[in-house]
Amino acid sequence: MRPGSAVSTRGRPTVLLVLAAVLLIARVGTGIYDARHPPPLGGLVKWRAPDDAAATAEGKPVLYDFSAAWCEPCKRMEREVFANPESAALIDASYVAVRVADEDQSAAAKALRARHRVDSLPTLVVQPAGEGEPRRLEGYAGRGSVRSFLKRALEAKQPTMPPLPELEGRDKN
Amino acid sequence: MSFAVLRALIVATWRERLLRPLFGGLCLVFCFSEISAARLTHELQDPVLILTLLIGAGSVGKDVSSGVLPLLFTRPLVRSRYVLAKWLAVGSAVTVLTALTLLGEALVLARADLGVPRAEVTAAIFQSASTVFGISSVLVFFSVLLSSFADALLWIGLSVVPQIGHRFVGQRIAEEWQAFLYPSLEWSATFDHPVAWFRVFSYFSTVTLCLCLAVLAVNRKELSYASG
Repeated sequence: MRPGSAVSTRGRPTVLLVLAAVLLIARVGTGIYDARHPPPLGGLVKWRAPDDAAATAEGKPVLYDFSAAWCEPCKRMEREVFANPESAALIDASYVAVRVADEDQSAAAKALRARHRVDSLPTLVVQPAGEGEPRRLEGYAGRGSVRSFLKRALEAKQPTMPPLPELEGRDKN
Repeated sequence: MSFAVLRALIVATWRERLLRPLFGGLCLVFCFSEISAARLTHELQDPVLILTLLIGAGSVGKDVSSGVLPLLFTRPLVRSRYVLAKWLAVGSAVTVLTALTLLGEALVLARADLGVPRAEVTAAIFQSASTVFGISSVLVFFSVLLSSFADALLWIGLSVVPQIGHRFVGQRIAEEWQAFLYPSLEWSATFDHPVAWFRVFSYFSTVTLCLCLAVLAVNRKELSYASG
């Protein structure tokens, strides 16, 4: 090899640097855009209020969404799940959806938070129609995990009530 | 010529990583345990994190501590190619292992009449592959800075921080921190209409930034047997 013709082994990764810079700018740009264009409040799901007594009287399982306006994962779930037409259709068709916002300090909201022992946000709780045990999903790990949780909660077998014992002799008393 | 060098480095890394009895055995045991777990839980188990840490730990740092790197850099090898080869080798090896594990899980579930839709399996493989290449880029960057397997320890230590500190540093910072350490693309959350461009750019900017920093750090490294 002639002196001076050697290629430097420490070449600056120009293409990679430019690509990283462009992607970083795009990341900041889309982040700002997303922050300025939040999804419509409530997404596409028809939410009920916590004190909506009719919610439990439709024979459908009830989906409680415990969330807050200040909670970033809740906003992501809002954008990716509740504002998605497919997911919203699945929820509206199979569940009675009740939103319990952290800002809601009504007695009904407080009672629901206490009953389901909510200590982290977001939390989804599915209360089956009837007497089944509620199922819950804490945190947000992507749309896929929420969808499979909602499907599993629907597929879960409803516990059957044991037959009432014969009340023989009751009439005799 | 350059592709031949890249390929040789990738194959050498595969051999070094997968043919070590301890690590290769651990990976196999872990893959089979995930398949068994899928049978018990009736859903796909993602083995990506443990496999990436097992195979990706010390990808560059081990070469430094064992004295391979000073020897390698006496040859006319472009350092950026070395870094890219390490990243591609770890990423491809773990992606193949993860994909085989997920397919094995899908097969086991299908035989138990709990079949997972093909689209769900494909989406799981895509997400795993994106996670593997994402975490590998972060590990390669850490591995350039630290010797031996300290990169994996640093990654584990740093990933605990947002779990503990999100109440103090704020949810948003904790989330960004997590996104840096665990870059991943979930298919449905990213590409269903409307496309989540922020997620796409976040992922690729993290990967390219880590690789850039790794190359710049390797370029600045002065290696000799005397420097240890």
